[in-house]
Parts: sequence; C-alpha cells; structure tokens
Amino acid sequence: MPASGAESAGIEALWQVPDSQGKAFVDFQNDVTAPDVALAAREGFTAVEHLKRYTTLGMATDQGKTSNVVGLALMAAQTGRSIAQTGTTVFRPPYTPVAVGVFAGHHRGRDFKPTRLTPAHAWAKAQGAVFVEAGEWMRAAYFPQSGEADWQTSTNREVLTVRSACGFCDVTTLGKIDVQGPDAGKFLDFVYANAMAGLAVGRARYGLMLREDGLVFDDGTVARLSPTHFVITTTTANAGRVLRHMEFCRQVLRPDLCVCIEPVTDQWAQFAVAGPHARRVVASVVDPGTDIGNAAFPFMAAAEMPMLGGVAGRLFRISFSGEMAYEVAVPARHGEALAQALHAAGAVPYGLEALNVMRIEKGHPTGAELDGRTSAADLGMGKMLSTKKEFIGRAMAQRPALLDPQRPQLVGIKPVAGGVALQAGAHMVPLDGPADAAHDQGHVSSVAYSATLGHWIGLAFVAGGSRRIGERMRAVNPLQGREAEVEIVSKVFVDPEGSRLHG
Amino acid sequence: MRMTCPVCGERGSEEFACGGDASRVRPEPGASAEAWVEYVYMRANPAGPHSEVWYHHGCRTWLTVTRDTRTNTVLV
Amino acid sequence: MADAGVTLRRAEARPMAGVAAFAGAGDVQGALAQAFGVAAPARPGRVEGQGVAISCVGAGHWLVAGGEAGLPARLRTLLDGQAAVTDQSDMWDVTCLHGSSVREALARCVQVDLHPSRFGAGDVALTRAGHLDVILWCMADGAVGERFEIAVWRSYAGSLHHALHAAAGAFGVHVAD
Repeated sequence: MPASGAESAGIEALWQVPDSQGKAFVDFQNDVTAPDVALAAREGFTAVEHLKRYTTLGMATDQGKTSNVVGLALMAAQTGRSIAQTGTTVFRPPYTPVAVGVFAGHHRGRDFKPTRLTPAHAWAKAQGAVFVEAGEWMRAAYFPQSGEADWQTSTNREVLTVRSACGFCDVTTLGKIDVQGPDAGKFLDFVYANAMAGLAVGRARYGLMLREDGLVFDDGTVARLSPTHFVITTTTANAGRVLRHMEFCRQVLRPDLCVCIEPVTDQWAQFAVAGPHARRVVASVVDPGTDIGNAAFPFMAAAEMPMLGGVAGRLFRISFSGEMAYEVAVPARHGEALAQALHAAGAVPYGLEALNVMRIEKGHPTGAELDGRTSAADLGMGKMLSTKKEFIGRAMAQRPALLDPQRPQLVGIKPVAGGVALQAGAHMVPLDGPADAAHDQGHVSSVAYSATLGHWIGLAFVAGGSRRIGERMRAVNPLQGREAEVEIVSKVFVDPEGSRLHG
Repeated sequence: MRMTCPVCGERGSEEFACGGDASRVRPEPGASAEAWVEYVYMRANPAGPHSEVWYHHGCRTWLTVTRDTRTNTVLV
Repeated sequence: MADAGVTLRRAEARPMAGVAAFAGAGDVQGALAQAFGVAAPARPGRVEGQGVAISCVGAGHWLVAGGEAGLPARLRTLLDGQAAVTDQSDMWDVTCLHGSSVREALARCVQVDLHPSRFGAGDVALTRAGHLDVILWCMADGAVGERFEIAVWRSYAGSLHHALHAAAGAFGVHVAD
C-alpha cells in the first residue's frame, strides 16, 4: 500500500483571505464583517456571548449556522486562543428549518382576519358593485353601469348624480355606540373635545375626540335622542378602539359618572341619502305623518321615527358630501328593503370612491388626515376645543409646540395647469430650490379628480398653510420623478358657504 | 399566559388587551405640565412585579392584574 | 346525514335586548325577578322564565331574549331610570349546534375549557372563536342530546360559520333548516 506523503496533510485553515481589498463578510445575514470581529476584540468583547451581542454575529434566523465557525475562528486568532478555548454561543430552535405555515396553522387569510358584510351586501352585489376591503368590512367602491370603461368613469357619474340629483351610500360600517344614563352628557363632555352636554334633544353635532397626548384620535357625530340617551358614531376603522377607550374612561377614569355604553353597530343598517332631491327620496321611505321639511327637521336634526311601514327607524340630517343629506337607519333585517326603497324612489347608489371624492371637495378629514400626528388646530378645528370643561387631551393639546403656527396645517391644493393629476404622498416644497428633506414643507394627504370642478384637487399639510392661501408650491414625488406646480387654496372646494346643506 | 377576569374567570391572554401601568393617576385639571408629561409619557420598566390594567374583550371589563414581567406569571 | 357528528342550524330571529344597570340606581335584578319570575345571574350564566332567557354578559349587564316583539320597549318601561336598555334584536347571528361530537368540534374553535365539569347546561362564556368575539351558551339537554348556541355580531356571521364548519368538518357536518 503506498504511503501518503506528509505534505498532503499540510492543510491549513483559511478563515480570511489575507490582504483582500474587498469587504470580508462573516455573517451574511447580519452583515458582520471580519473588521467588526477585530473591533470587538479591541473593545474588549472577547467572550463569545459578548462578541455575539456586540456585533450581532449569529443572531439572524440561521442562528449562526453559516457564520459562527468563521467568526469564532477570527476571534480566536485575535486573542491568541484556539477555537475550543474561545468557546461557542447558545443557538436556539428551530434547529432544523420549519415552514412558517406550520406555526400559522389554521390562522391564515380569511381564517385569521374575519370579513364583515353589511345587511345590504347581497343587494349591492346584485347591482354589480365592485367591493373594496375597508378594515374587516367589504364596502362597495363603485357601481359600474354598462358602457363605463373604468372606475373613474363610474365614480364621476356617481359624484355628479349626487351633486345634481340624489344618491345613496351604505354607511352601516361606521361604529355606533349607544350612550345612556343621567350623566351621559357629562360623560360625552369628558370624552369629546367639544361641548356635548348642552346638545338639545333632537339635534346632532360633529364630535372630535383627542387622545390624552392632545392629538386627534377620532371623529364622528353625536345625536341626542332624549335627555339621557345619546347615539354616537365613530370612524369605521376606529370603532373597536373607541369603544375600548370609552370603557376605560367610564370604568377607570370616571367611575363617578352614572352612564352605560353599548356598541350597537350591527343592530342598524344605515344609508346616507344626499343631493338636491334627497328630501323627496327620504320622504318616500318615512311613514306618512312625519314632517322632514326644513322647518320641522332642519340641518343637524335627529329623531326616531317610523319608516318602511311601521319599522322603528332613526333619521339624522347630517351631511358628509356637502349636499342636503340625511342618514337613514333601520334595524339590520330591514337594510336590504331600505336600499330597495331608496333605489325605487330614484336615488342612485354610490360607493366609497365617490364618497371620498365628495369629502375631499368639502375638505373633510378622514384616516389619511387623522393619522395620529395631527392636532385639532392642524385640521383647522382648533376653536372647537372647549375652554369651559375638562376633557381627554385638553392639557396636552395646549403644549406650545402643538400651538406653533408653523406646524403643518390642512389646506386645499389644485394644479396650476389644467389636466395635471395630483398624487397623495407627494412632498410640498417651494417653487425654487432643491426638492430634498431640508426644504420639505409638508405632504399631500388625499387627492381626487373632482368631476364637479373638472380638475384634480388635493388636501395637503403645509407648514403655516392657513396663512399661505394663493401661494404656489411644487408637489414632488421623488420616487417616480414626478412633480406638479400647485396653488394653495381653501380646503373647501365646493360650496364654501354651505348653502347646499340647507336645501 | 392566563389572567382572571373578575366577571368571566380565568382566560387566555388572547382575550385581553393591555392598557399599561395601573398605578398612574390622571392629574387634576390645571395640574403642571410636568405632571401631565409624567402621566402621559413616562413609564417605569420594572423587571419583576408590575401592576397593569387589562381589557377583557368578551365582557368589556377593565381589570387590574399584577404580572411578573420576567416570567409573565400573574401574581394577583 | 344520520352519521353527521355535528348539526348546525341558524336560530330564527327573536327579540333581544341589552340591559346595563346604572350603578347605584335601583335594583335591576329585583325588577327582572319580579317581571319574569327568575333571578338574573350575577356572573355569566343563563336562566329562563316566562318565555324569555336572561343571560349575564358582563358586570351588571344582561342580554334578555325571546318573548314578544315589544320586549325592548317593555324592558325600557320596567327599568326606567335603573338601566340602559338597547334593542339588539337585529344585532346577533345565533347558531344552534348539537350532535355526538359537538363538544369536541367546538373545543377546536373556542378558547374556553368545554369539559362537561367546567361548562354545563346554563353556563355562558364570553370568549373568542375563529378570531371573533362570541357568546357561547350550553343549553339544557333536548331530544337531540347536548345543545349549544353561539352568537356573533351579525356582520361576522359568514366568518363564524366558516370557522364552525372548519372546526366540525372532521366529524361530519349537517346543516339543518
């Protein structure tokens, strides 16, 4: 048998290519390099557990299986020890690869995130509605008619129909909370930033909730049905959070108040009916004998009344679209019947897209504006904060930085050149100078093509914006290399006097 | 981790949401800015027993529990 | 489907009302006892009296179901000044379950202990099933044996039924009218 030569066993470890000019990566997942290991040694982190924490060597999902031997060998070389003397770190399960799906099990997709449908979902589907996910809810985005090429065409038609005739929109998804008790008014005074206790029976009011840090939490309407009975709405997205917050206020902060709250979102099917013909449409679903005219049932009126032939419903004279509008609520089992009746009376269904266009035309904030960073003053609602009562967020809302007139304030923008589209998320920078972070003066929060006005419009937060109406700026989208010259305008684009509301 | 709701009894933590330090007391109206900053922002981060408020989704009760933050053992 | 381990049936609509007692303002349990002849439980549980079922669903908080369509209005009069009454007749989707494997199937989707020694007739759990907040009742045994009812907010009905079918699938599911 031939003997092997001694030189064939002369294998040497090559942990690092000497004199390499490139980066020498040790941990490919956490980007730890050979110089990082050397630095750790110089800093005194020579113990393996220290080396690991100082450099993140071996902390990635492979738990060092691709990197630790090299890293520990380099440390051994740095400290003049053997690898065995240097030691090894603890690595954690999974020791062998496990598909993430095994951890997820049954909790995937629809089984993880439930779907909520409104009582008129099947009706809307039969009308050809295209649905969009809004949180857990499926909401109709638009109702295409034959011959309409795309969603924009359908949305434009729906907007123009509401502004010239009458449309209706399923707003069942708004959170609804019933607030009852001798101290219900006092409780709402504490929860909302604006005054509620003095709200007259049979009236509704816009309500603004702050967080305890003084920033805006949520908004909605508050209606008083009796001296001890209020019904409030929350945004669709925040319904659960507002309920939990209100229970915290009731149970922990104000146990002295005699009040009960109950979430009743699913008890009611609710539709906004909006447009110059809204009164005639609503009158056709309300039982005879109830006067819903301007004198008996003016803007911001609210009442329980029979409709659809003896069904105990609720009617609110509130408007999100800026048109003369009502919100009609019936117990959920009658939701589909109400949709049919409104449709039969000549109202055209409109979806979330048209609703969004019209609220931008009126400068109403939604989730894109109530993003957790805005104060009431930023939204132009600073005067709503009551000075006569204690409420959640009152103290912190008065912090000097939140009252700074240079804070980004909500304004409208429109392109200087006709036909130019705007983009949400674009940054607002001055006409001259570079478009970089140092010159950033705000951002565009919402945009829409306004069929009413025939051009694009947007809402933007601009530093000191309320005093810059008429100024021109650039809305810049560096990601796509696009920019548009825009003029700062009032955030109320349509009917700034609000005369349409009173019909 | 399991907690005991005063209404529903012992339940898994999946049914609860944490509301943070239970020892905080909301300042009186007119309290100093420092008192509000303390209430709204400042939190101890103890390694050990910590009194917390938790919300039970099922019955909508806010409850107070003492949890050992090192072990998630609920002590009270 | 004689061999189905679980039978599901959507309960017919019934009048339902939430009753939330105003703290320190009267005796709601006393008023309910006088009206319906049964003591409303103070902890999650269910009793029946004079055609209605009273379930405790929270501290000082009951769900009253059954009886005449005017139930919410009747309770409002009965408990005026003592409790907040809300009409919830349209708020809940209620599913009835029975079958030889009903406990095993439910145990796969609800988080509470369903051993008969821990959850028996008259017990109520406010818990979660398939990532949904639900109310689960263990009813008195009927001709079909053990019976349960599970309620979820109406808009979630499709998701709950999906979860129930997934949990009970291995035992065979029969959907009854």
